[in-house]
Amino acid sequence: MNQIIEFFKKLLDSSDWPPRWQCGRWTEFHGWLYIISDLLIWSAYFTIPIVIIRYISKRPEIRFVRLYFLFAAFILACGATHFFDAVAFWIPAYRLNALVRLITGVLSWTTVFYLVKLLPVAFSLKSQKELEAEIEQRKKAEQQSRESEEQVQTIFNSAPDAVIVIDQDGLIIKWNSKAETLFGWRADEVMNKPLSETIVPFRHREAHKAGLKHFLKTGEGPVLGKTIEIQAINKNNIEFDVSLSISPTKVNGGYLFIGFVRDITDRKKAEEKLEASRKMFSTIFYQSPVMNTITDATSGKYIDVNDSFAEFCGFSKEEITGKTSLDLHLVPHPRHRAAIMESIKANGFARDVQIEVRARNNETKWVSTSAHAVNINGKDCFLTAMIDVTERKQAEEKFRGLLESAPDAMIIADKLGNIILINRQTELLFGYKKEELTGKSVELLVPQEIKDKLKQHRADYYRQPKVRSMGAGLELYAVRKDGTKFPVEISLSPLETPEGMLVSAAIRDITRRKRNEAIIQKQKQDIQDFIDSMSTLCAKVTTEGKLLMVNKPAMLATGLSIEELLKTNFLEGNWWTYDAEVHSRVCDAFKKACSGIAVNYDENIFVFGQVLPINFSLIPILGMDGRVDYLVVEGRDISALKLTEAELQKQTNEIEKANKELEAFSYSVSHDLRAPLRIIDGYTEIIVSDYGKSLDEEGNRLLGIVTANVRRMGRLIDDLLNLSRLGRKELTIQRIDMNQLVDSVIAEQFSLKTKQYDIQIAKLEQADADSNLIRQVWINLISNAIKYAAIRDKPSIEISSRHTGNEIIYSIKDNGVGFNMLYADKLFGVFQRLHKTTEFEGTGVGLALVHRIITRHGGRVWAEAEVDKGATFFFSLPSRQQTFIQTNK
Amino acid sequence: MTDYNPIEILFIEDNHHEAELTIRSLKKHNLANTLKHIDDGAEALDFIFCKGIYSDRVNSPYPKLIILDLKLPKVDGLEILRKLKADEQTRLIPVVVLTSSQEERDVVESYKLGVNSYIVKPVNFETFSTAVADLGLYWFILNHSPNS
Repeated sequence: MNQIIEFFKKLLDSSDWPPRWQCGRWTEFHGWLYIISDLLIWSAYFTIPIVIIRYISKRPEIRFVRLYFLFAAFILACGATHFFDAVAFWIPAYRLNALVRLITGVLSWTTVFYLVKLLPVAFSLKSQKELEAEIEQRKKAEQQSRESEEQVQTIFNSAPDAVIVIDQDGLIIKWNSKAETLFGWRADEVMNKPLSETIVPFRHREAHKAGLKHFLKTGEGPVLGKTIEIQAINKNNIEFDVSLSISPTKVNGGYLFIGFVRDITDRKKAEEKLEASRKMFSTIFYQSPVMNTITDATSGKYIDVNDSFAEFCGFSKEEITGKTSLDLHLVPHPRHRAAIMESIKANGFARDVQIEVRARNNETKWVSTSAHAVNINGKDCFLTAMIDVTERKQAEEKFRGLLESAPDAMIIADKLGNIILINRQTELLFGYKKEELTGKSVELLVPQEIKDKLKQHRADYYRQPKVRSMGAGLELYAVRKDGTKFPVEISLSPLETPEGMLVSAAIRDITRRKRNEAIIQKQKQDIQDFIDSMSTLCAKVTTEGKLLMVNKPAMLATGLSIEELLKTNFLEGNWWTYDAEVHSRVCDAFKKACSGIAVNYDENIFVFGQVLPINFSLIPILGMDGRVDYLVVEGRDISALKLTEAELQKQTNEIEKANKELEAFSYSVSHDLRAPLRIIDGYTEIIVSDYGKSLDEEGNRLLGIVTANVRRMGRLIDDLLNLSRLGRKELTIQRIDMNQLVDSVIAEQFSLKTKQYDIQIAKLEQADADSNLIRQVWINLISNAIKYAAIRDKPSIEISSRHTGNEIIYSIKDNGVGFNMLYADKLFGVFQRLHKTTEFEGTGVGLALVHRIITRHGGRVWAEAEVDKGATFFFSLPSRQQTFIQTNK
Repeated sequence: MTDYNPIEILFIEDNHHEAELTIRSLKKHNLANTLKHIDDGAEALDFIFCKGIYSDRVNSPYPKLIILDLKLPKVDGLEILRKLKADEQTRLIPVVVLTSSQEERDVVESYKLGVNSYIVKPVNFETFSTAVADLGLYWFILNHSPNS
């Protein structure tokens, strides 16, 4: 204890120990290193607590303060030990030093104790970094919060709706700019005013207040949390429709009501618009003749289809809805459906994809399909429109068919002249295969030298596309694969297609036609040469009077050039118009000819510079349709004929005069010559009857001779008169039953005859002739036969006929005296007789008469005979047909 | 030439020999008793229509038969026939043409003018005589003319 007291008594006493410099062998360096290090440690240890205390003192709230203080004391104590160590070099106060160390030790352990106790807590605390991060975050959050508040304010102000906040007393506490616009009140004008007195129409004010009260009391508000449509008024007391939604918010124990007010005047309009647009869509969709469907993009099921589609498919809408096109077997070719799907996948749509569809009744049709991917009510759908293009397809096929069946080579080319399509005829004509030409330029088919021309043509054509022939008036040539050229005729027609304008060209090989044309040209020239060489005036003229062809004489007659002539109307030429009457007659004749009747008459026409009589005919030439196609005009100068005619007329007159004289003569003969004969005969008769008895036989014989000769003279006169009369008598042709005629003549001739004749009459051909005259022929021939056969004991007569060629030959054969054929030519002459009058009586006129009659009928008469063997007389008459022609003449 | 007996046959013939032969034939059959022969056409007309030298015959009856030759001086037979048949009074008197003419135009013309018979004088007298007698008998005796 003493020691302890001692210790404290001598605590600051350093005299017991030498300064440290003297204790041991310190080098200066070593000593100062020690001292300075200790001083540095001390100063540092001394500073730390100051910093800590200062830091703590500045922080209002700090945890573990005791630990900080402990730590500060502990560090301070540690520093003091090091200080005392350094001082000990000069002042060796070890007791104090020890004490300080003790304090340091105690402080250290105390600190350790606290440290152990507090360390877990200290470690659970956020580190500085963490704290910083947290702080940063908080700062950000704060920022955000601030911004969001601003945003709310901005939204509040820029809200599309009027936003009004009222408190539970119904006073306005917020009023955004939209509300200002909508109601006409500025925010500052309405702030803290009751809502009911600003925008609620008078009739709703009580209800508004009551509703508010009711809510505050019961927490129930039928209008809260909903959007209602109601009327509001603006500053000018004008009422308008609004939609209103109110939400209550509890703030600081009280309620705030936020109201969103929207002017629905516009919305109503918009709604109407929407409705209209919906209707429009609906109309377009449902009423359209285009087949419309909406299908689910994923399942491919029909959601809706229009009537056109349903009708087309033959299913009801209900049957279609919910099915896919595959379910309904609408698409016979899966690749068609795939084509549409691919297009939609790639482009979002498909346009004009032609697919074949099959209706319920198995009828298939071609439709052009367009589809779009659309989103309807959040569902991916395809809106599809289909147009029935069956007809177009058929038309296309027909077109192809037409193309193939066209008689000409057909080439369809595009604007650039590239061949798109050709037909079989083209292959045949040009010698190329379809594949060789498709896609190639049409220039391939054109000779080198006219390629440029062709380009020009094509360009021209596209400027004015219409159906026409190409290069009219030009010689067009085409070239085959083997390089041969040939003349062609090309007609072009434009073809509007969805792919743009195409041109279809019909090409015809006109080699043959060209040749024919040349032939025709030659023939034409021949005809022209032919008519030119005619002596008559000749022209071809249309029914309108246009001259088409005129021969050289006609041209010369008019004195006009061929060009002038072809420009002149036939009816208006000065060849008629010189005289109005002539013109009028010609116009009438022309009209008649145009109606199909040939006209021929003589007209005085002004030709060759003078008026000449022209026999002029208009002959209508009928066309295939039986109508008058054109007229052939022919004119013949008949001035010479007219002269001849005048001459002829003169001669005729003279002949007529001579004839008249002859007639007068024969009249005299018939009357005057017969009278004296009759008188001679009469008086001779009187002598015979009255004085016959006084005369002797010789006297009576002589008187007999007188009488006989007088009578013979009478017959002669009669026969001669007959012969002359026949020359003038008109023939009356009729059908003659020849057997009947011959029978009656024979009966007449034999009425007085007593001798038996063998008469054979064959079946005789009928004839068309003058019955009286033919009767005279038979009388003469039969009486001759009777006469000449009379010398025979058994006289016979055979009559027959035969038909040869175009004549009927009648014959009469007797077995009489016959005659010498040497004199056959004299047989039919007047007064020619082959027998003596004493042998056979006769005047020699009978056969002359026969000859005359038969000749007048157009027949012949002849005879065959042999002396003493009989004779056969023949005469012929034209058969019926021949007669017909003759009477027509 | 005045003859007041009613003339029953008027015979117009210029050739006197012919006339004699004809009258002889008629006489043979007692037909020529009241016959008047005129050899001139103009005179014949005067006789029938009571003109000229025959103007005093006004009240005499018309002949019952006229035998007419065609070839006559001055006025020919056809002219006489035309006048006879044109007159209401003489229209019904039977007229027989007795002529040498066989000319068809004479025959046709005569019948056109209304002749009652046309007889061609044959050269043969016998035949002629028979024909004349027949015609006289027929027209004068057998035929009952309306004005007899």
